[in-house]
Amino acid sequence: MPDRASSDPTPIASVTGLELGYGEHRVVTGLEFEVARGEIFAIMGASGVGKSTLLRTLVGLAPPAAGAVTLFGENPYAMPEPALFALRRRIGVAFQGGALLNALTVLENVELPLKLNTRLDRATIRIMAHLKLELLNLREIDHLYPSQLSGGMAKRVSLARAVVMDPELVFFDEPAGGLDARNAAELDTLIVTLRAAMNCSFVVVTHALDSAFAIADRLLVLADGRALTLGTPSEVRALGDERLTALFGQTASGQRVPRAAYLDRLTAGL
Amino acid sequence: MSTWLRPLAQLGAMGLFLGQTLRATRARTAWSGTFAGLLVRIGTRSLILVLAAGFCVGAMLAVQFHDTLTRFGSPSMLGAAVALSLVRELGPVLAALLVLGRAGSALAAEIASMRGSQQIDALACMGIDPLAYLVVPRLFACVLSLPLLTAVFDVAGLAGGMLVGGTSFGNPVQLVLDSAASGVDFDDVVMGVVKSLVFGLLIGWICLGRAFLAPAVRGTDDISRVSADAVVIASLAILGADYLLSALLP
Repeated sequence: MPDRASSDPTPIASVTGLELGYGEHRVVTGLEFEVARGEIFAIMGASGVGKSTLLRTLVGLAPPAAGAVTLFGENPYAMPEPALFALRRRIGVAFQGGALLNALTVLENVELPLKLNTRLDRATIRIMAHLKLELLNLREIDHLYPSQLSGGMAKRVSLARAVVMDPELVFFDEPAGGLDARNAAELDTLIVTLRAAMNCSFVVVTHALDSAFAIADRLLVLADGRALTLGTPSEVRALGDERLTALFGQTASGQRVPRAAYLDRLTAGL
Repeated sequence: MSTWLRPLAQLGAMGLFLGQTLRATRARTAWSGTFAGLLVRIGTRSLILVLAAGFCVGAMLAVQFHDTLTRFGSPSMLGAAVALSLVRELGPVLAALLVLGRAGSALAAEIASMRGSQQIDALACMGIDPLAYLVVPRLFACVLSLPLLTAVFDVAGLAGGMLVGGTSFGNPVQLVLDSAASGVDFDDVVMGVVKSLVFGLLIGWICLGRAFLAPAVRGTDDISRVSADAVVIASLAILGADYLLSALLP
């Protein structure tokens, strides 16, 4: 696999003067950021601040009220539908609730993008899907239907489906949402594992301070309808305990997350 | 948007939806293997209902027509009256309403549920056209299954009519059958087939379109609302189209 991170210096996604909202109402204004190749970029903020709307806008599902979005240097809102579908085959999106097709098993869900977007034969598709399921420790449940999965499993299957086409950029909406600490940490591990194994970029939307501080290379913090800060975890920590607590309603334990040790633990099994 | 403009906007959106769906029939994903299963699912889902309802309607027609025809001195026309009523009018309309209630509402609820759980967004994000993958096979399964189910309804209705006409009113069954055969010509069958194709298209278009275009589906209330709206609108559309086709076609 070519080294995606170093082969192309242009940002994999970028946002310029972005405004999100409905009608005249604006939820977020003045967003400017770029996602570099190979990085894990976290978008943080309290509930209702517009994180998921921003994610939908980034993947071409919800046009912005103003401003521009580019994916791989192209504006997804200024291209015909077939080109947009082709562009989206270069990304993967794992939704908060999984968004798995209920009529299909875990294996069939993961096979679906390969089956419909490629002309690979059935055996090859199965092998590729099994590889991704193995990578995410899902091989033993590949015969189950989504209704038989726990919330954590559904998120992992959604992630497996998102990465089965080996995308260059993966979006993950609230990996920790609705999960206990152990399952949330497991998903953090998987994100770091996948980034290392596939050399792809991640945009993670989250309200979980601990995991964002632990896995992200850079963080964008949304608050009060704007970007409060954008920077590395240490730069965001400079906001201070009180400010973070006020924003997220959590004690700012992120300040004290031993990032290096946490990452060592996450990547220990690689 | 004003109250007056909203229905027009919705009609426009539904027209656009149908156009985009028909355009999506060219996509490979539209025929990726789900069509046959959906056809069987819609057919089997409604088959028993259509059989039972057809038989009862045929029997009821025999009772009604026997009384009326006897008054006018033409009881031998019983078979023709029952067959003609079934093939041209009642078969297509009642089969369509039954399929709408049984399969159409389920399709609307299924797509609305997929909208609410972001399955449709997920398909789009995989680079898969949801119209091609989800809507096209369901729409064509509706269009194709309705003439078949209408034929089942007609046959069951004729059986019910023959049984009642032959056993209850003393008409020889052969006479009733001959009367039925002579009363229905090729144009009547064509009319029934055309109607059922149009009704199948209306069921698929309205049920799938209302659910696919639903702006916000956040729970079971929204799913049932979308499904109920679709059934009501499609019922009226079927009855309106039935009048127009009856008036316009020979």
